[in-house]
Amino acid sequence: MTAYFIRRSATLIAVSLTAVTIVFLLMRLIPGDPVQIYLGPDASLEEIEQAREHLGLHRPIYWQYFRFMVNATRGDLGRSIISRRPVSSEIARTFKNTLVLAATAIAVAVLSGVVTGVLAAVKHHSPFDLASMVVAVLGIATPPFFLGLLLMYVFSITLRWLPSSGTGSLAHIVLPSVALGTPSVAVIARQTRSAMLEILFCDYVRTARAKGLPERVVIFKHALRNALIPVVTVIGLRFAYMVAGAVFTETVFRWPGMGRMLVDSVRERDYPLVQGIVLVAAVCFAAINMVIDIFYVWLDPRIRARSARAEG
Amino acid sequence: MTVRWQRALAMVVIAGLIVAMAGCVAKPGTPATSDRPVTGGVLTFVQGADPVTLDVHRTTEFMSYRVTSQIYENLIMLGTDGTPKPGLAESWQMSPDGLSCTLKLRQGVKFTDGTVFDAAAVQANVDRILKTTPALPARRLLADVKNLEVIDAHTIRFDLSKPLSLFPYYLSHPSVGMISPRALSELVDQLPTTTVGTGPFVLKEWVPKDRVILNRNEDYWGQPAWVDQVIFRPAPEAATRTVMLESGEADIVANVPPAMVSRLRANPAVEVLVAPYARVTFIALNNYRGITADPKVRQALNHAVDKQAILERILFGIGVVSDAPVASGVEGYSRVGTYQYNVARARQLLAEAGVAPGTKVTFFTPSGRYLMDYEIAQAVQGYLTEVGLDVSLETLEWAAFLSNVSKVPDESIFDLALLSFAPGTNDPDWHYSNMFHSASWAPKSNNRCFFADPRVDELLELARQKPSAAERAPLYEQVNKIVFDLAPWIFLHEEQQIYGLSLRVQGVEPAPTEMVYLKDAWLKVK
Amino acid sequence: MKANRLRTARRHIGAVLGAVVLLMYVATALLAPALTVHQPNAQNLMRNLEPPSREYPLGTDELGRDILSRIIWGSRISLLMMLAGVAFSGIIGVLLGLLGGLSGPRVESLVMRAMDVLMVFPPILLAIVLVTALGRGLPSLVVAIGIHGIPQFTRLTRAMVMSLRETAFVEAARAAGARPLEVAFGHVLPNCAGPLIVQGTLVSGTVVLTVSGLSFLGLGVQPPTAEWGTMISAARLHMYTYPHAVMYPGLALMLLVIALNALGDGLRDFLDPRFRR
Repeated sequence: MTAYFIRRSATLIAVSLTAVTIVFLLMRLIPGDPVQIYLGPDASLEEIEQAREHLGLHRPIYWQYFRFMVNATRGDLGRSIISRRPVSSEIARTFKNTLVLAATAIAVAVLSGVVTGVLAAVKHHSPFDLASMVVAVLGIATPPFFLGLLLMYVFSITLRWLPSSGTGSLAHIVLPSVALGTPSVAVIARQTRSAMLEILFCDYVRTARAKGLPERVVIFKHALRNALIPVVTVIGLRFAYMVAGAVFTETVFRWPGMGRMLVDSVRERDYPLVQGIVLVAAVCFAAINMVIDIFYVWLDPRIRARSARAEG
Repeated sequence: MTVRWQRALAMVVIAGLIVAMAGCVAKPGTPATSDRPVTGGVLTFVQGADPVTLDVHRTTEFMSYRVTSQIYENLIMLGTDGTPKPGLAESWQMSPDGLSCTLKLRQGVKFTDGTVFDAAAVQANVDRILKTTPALPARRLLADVKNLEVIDAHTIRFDLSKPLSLFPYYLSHPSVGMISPRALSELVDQLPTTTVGTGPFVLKEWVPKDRVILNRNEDYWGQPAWVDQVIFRPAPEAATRTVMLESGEADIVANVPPAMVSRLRANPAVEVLVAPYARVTFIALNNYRGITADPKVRQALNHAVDKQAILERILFGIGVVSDAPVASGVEGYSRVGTYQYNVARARQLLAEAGVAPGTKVTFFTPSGRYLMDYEIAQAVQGYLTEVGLDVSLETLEWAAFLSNVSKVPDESIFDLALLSFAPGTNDPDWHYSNMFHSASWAPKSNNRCFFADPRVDELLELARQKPSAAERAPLYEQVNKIVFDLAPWIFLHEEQQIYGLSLRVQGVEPAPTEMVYLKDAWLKVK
Repeated sequence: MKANRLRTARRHIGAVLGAVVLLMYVATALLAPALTVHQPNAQNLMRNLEPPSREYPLGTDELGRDILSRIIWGSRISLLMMLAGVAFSGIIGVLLGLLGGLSGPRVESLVMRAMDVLMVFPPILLAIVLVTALGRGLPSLVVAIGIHGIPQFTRLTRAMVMSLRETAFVEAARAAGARPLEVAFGHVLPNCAGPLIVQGTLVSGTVVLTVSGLSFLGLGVQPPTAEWGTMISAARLHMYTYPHAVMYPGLALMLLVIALNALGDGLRDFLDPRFRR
């Protein structure tokens, strides 16, 4: 298991570096110039040239790449071209906000998703099953910004129960986390239901039932744990999706997170900031994937056996 | 339907009613009226973006200016009527040849770090603006300054390398604000986030992308600001801004989309402020190459578009159809006329110019950069299709758009491009020279349609030397006529600024450059 | 026995309804010219944002175009994009998943690391970069939408292959001398079909939503092409004042997603071998 962990950590680094390299090249391939954005449409050609030189953007790409990589290994991700603030502090601030939002949203989604999924599976083909799935699907089917604007309208303008947007108090996180979590409720509920249904028909669950174990024990102890394998995958994927896809929620609810910053920085061609965000995002996503894989091994004895064999 | 279902339905209806009633109750009553400004309160100002930097000499866009202009002051300030007014300079005098400007500085003014504001402070600021490399954006405004002469502690003279009688306007531009000389020598690296100015507010806290909090400067040299605190909050999504106003979370929201004005006007708890603006929106036609190099074709395209309909239906009537190549509030404006919407005439002109039906043209537009850009561009595409052109409309994000319309003439790839321009100083030369002087061709400057006319170049240079508006007026009038006839653009409209205000906000009067000076704003107490 | 049959019927009714709705959408897309009175791109600015009337059954949009016609014509683009996007990520993803799951550890690790690289890319970044680099056409949108779905299919396929490849019937097939491709497509793939279909239906719904998200960022299909996501996104400015402009394309989209889900659910019950007994 330790060897497995070390090997996965090594690949995590390799994967992240590959991703950053690709981004580095892609960003310089697409049209647009950060200096022009930073200096505005009124800037003169001379002004732009001077700034490019100052930022080292006139140098060949391999030189810029090499410098970026060398500095990155020393923990220096450079400064944003637009705001001139250090990339690391920009990321630290927004990443924290995004994590808080995504964690709250995933908690909302997992709680309601798993419960709905389990109940729907147990009451397979009942009106509850149908109703919960329809509601869940409505959740996926609504465009994210649409849901956000709707929530604000009802809870901030009409009812005045909750602040519409921004940060500051616990109440501020309610609307954005519901907006961000809702589409995932459906995905998680569906996956839980499918997996539970599959398991509930398995022999060992029938055996457990035949032994006369209470239904609750059968469901939660025997069925759910095994049903969780695909569900964990989905939760992990949804979490990664939220961290990356929070941009709509962050825009509508003006949540100062990393998704919005990434989109802004790509549009402003703020190379150092884009590279920094991708590096951090890559490490995080790779880490999430690793955790999912380790979960697999832990949950499924068959895989555990195989990976032990592979190690040996 | 079973009884149970009916009961459930009834519950839903009742719940709905409660929600509706709660909505009515929540609306605040009319506040008590009083006309005299009172001190106190926190004012929340919501706009589309966070400031990029608070280093005023580095700022290039008005989201930053709106914040920095509360903290920093200029030698000359732009009044809400769009003309230069005394600021840190009590008075000024332009020499008759337009080659020098003498300013008398205000006495008894201190920066918030205790440093005295005097000629030496101006000298330090001008030195930084002119000598820093790479060039600071503020250098554009002082590009013609040859030398700053300190006459005494409170008198200075700018010597210019070529005549520019409009120079006072340049000093009023928000990016030539005066920073404390001590901060310039000791804190220069921290200026993007630290401020030391003379203005009515001081920076308390800036949480990037979330809020900028300004407190009243208690030691302000003039009448101190009325409100205790101003909080700037960014909200990129327009709907969010209006929600914040309606829910009482914002006192002023800027850049309200015209589509939402009717809704806000129907809400008794808020009001809509429409103010003049120096911005014109137009379709730049490629004057250098392609079918649009022919003035006849450009005139035809002007006849093909119903600008009145665009203004009325897309901007909901907020704005004015352009009848000159400059906004009506800018000096130099004179009414020339509009190209009548006339499809037959457009077709005829196109035929005369030898443009075959089905000719392909490329039309670039940014999306979400200018007011209703995407919708206006589609409408124009529709009109041009009517007169037989095959318009390929390409919506680009801003960076790609900007790089596509900043190519040298021979590499230019657009036939039409939706653009919008407002002179940052509200002065005519800034507008005309950027837009129509042949020396301003992209990528050097903002003449992105590659308009060139020797008479216009000559008139513009002559106007720079004339010391008074009255003497410049006939020159600009000729420019307006020539430009109108040669039609380098499809003239569309001039915009108006739209703000949403809560009823308690008083004393807000935006300048035509989108600046809102919050010194005079105050909040009614209920 | 009778109760059991009733249950089976109820189980299929969702799928049947889903299929019927989906067929209606396909028919609408095919018959678009016959079903519409107005041209989808014909604009009449002086009559924009009109509420539903006899002339314009669902009202007009911000440029005075008939919303009904645009929804009907838009179904072509939206369905096409959905199919192409899902096919793009599904086919590539499943093939890579099979390859990863059934070949040696070296290939497997290579495939999975490639997927990791793809996954760690924030999808929005990929979409912006691809659309900016390739231009805002349908093909680049399909690639932009499809590419970040690939790893999901690959991982799902491979996860199932991992649990299947040790099972008796796959080993029996191998022992009987089946070639690797035969094992992959004849024995393993059919047993993965259920979850893949669940995944596929979910993805096809989100594809159209992703397009609306890209339109929100100004990266959707090029105007004046009618496409639901773009229509919803463009009309959001009028959501509080002229809700019809955003509501009807929204309903068209939501109904499609719901139908797809009902159908996928039914198909799953039907296709999954373990459910057939």
